[in-house]
Amino acid sequence: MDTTADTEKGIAELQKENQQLAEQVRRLVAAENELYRIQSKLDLKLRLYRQLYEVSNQFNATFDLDEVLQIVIQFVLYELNFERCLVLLPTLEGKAFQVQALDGYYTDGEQEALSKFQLSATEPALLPLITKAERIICPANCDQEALRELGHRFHMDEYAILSLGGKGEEPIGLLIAGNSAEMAGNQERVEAEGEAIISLANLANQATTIMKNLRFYQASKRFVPEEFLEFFQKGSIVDIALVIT
Amino acid sequence: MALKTGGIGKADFVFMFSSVGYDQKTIVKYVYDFFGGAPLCGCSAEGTIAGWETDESNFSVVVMAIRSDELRFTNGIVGGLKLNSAEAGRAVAGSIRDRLNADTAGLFLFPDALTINFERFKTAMETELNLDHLLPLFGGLASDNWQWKQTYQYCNDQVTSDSAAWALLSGNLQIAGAVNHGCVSLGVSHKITRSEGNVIYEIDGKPSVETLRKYLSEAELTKGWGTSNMQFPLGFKLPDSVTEDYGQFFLRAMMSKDDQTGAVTVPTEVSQDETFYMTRRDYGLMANGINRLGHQIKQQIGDKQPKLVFQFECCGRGKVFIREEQQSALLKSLHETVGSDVPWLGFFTYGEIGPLAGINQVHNYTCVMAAIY
Repeated sequence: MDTTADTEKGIAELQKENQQLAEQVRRLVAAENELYRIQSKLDLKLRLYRQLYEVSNQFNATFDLDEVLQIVIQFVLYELNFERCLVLLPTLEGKAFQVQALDGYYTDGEQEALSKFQLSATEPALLPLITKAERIICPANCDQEALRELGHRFHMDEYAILSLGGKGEEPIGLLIAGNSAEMAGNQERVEAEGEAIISLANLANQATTIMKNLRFYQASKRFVPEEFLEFFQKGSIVDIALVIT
Repeated sequence: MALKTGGIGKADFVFMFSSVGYDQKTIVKYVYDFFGGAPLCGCSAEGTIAGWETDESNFSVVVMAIRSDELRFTNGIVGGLKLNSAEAGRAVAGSIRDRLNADTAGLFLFPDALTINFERFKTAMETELNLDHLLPLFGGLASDNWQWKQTYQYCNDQVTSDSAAWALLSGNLQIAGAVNHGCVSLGVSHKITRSEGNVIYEIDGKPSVETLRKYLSEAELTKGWGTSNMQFPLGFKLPDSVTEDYGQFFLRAMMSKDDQTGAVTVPTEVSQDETFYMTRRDYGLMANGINRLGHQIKQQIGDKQPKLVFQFECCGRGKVFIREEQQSALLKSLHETVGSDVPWLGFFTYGEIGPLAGINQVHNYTCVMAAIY
């Protein structure tokens, strides 16, 4: 009798212990899954960090503006995974920004129309950028009608516009990246605090620096002998310092 | 690229898998036209496998163009899985009956994961065919990059949903198949107390979703459903005779849930009063399993070199579970065992199809391999 009772008691204790262990395993699995989630976020950050490094190498290897803009667009489309991308530069009169490069999933008609697309420098929705904000974000749930209407003009239902020009300076160009509503589910989403926006900002900063350098280089061509510019391209900073002194 | 890689001028047959970022009709039409209208079979995927490289982005596509004097593929597609999976199974049987020969090796199948009742489809097809031997089924359930909205099946330049694309393989060849998983029990069992077909309404006397609250947070049950539900495979005990190579449990993924009724759906039918164990994916077991898969295939093919290999991998074993470099390392080791230079194609599925212990089955959380030699 006692033996049976002992056995039952033993089984009950083992069952209780099993329940406790199972509960601990369950918590560990939840923690493990959270770690997987964090790990995949970190992996993504690391990947973008490496890709931005690659981009900076590509920028440093060119003196050609079109190539710079292509590098920007390729990064936006194929690394950040936005559907559409435009780069606008100021017109000669400086009264508007005109599309200089574009790519992404557009119909032929849309692409043709957008290749001539201009945004007035006095466009009210752009005012924050003109007055030296770094970026304008229009996520899918944006409640600002003006921004949504602006997006429709370049066929994006969610987008970010980044100033190429540096913090506190007037833009020397605009970088626009975003998605149509139909394709947004398959693309990187536009979210104000998203990793992709940080990467876009980083890219915009790098592109700004190289574009300013190019502008300086092109301008200097008019005043500086070609031999010197060739030397400038190839020589080390020490050589250049010696020549100048 | 596929023609160039294979060094062939024209394809006899084309397999294709693509993730759903691409417009499906456009991309299938492009590939079909590119190969001059060669018969094409495939489906949408969560990600693709080509050689030992994987791509689980929303924009990935793999194509295998086959030209052979030894292999013969014929293909087709059947619709209406949601309405009547059994009828669809019978229709496939009707389509392939006259094409079955003594040298028919197997049937590749790519059904819509969101609408098929695999058990009914397979049983009806096999009953209708009434063969005296097993016609092995290999393949995967079409997926859609975790959106769980719509999957696509490809037959030539046709793209449909709620259907099953198939390709029958005949010729002077054999198929070596292997399957296993890498899940382990948490030590907790649960009882299905109310179910109908493949819908589990109640577990342990409570709505299924209520019981799941023990395992998943509110956020995981709402916003995170689609990947969070993959964390806890339901494990149904298997007979000891098959567990050595496969693993202790038949695993079932909770494919969808109904917040109104609290029910969850699994890919195959379950019985009321059936007991299952909550399990978890284990990287070590998965790595061992991959190693074992390679050796099982090698054991079957002996010294022969496979002509091509198909790999159907559960999306729950992809990037949501392991890092890209871990995945690549596992695939590389598999290639080294089976054959480094073998044409190798596959995709990440919502369910894998392959025989186990002489019975055609749909699996979850597994890798199914089919090496044609």
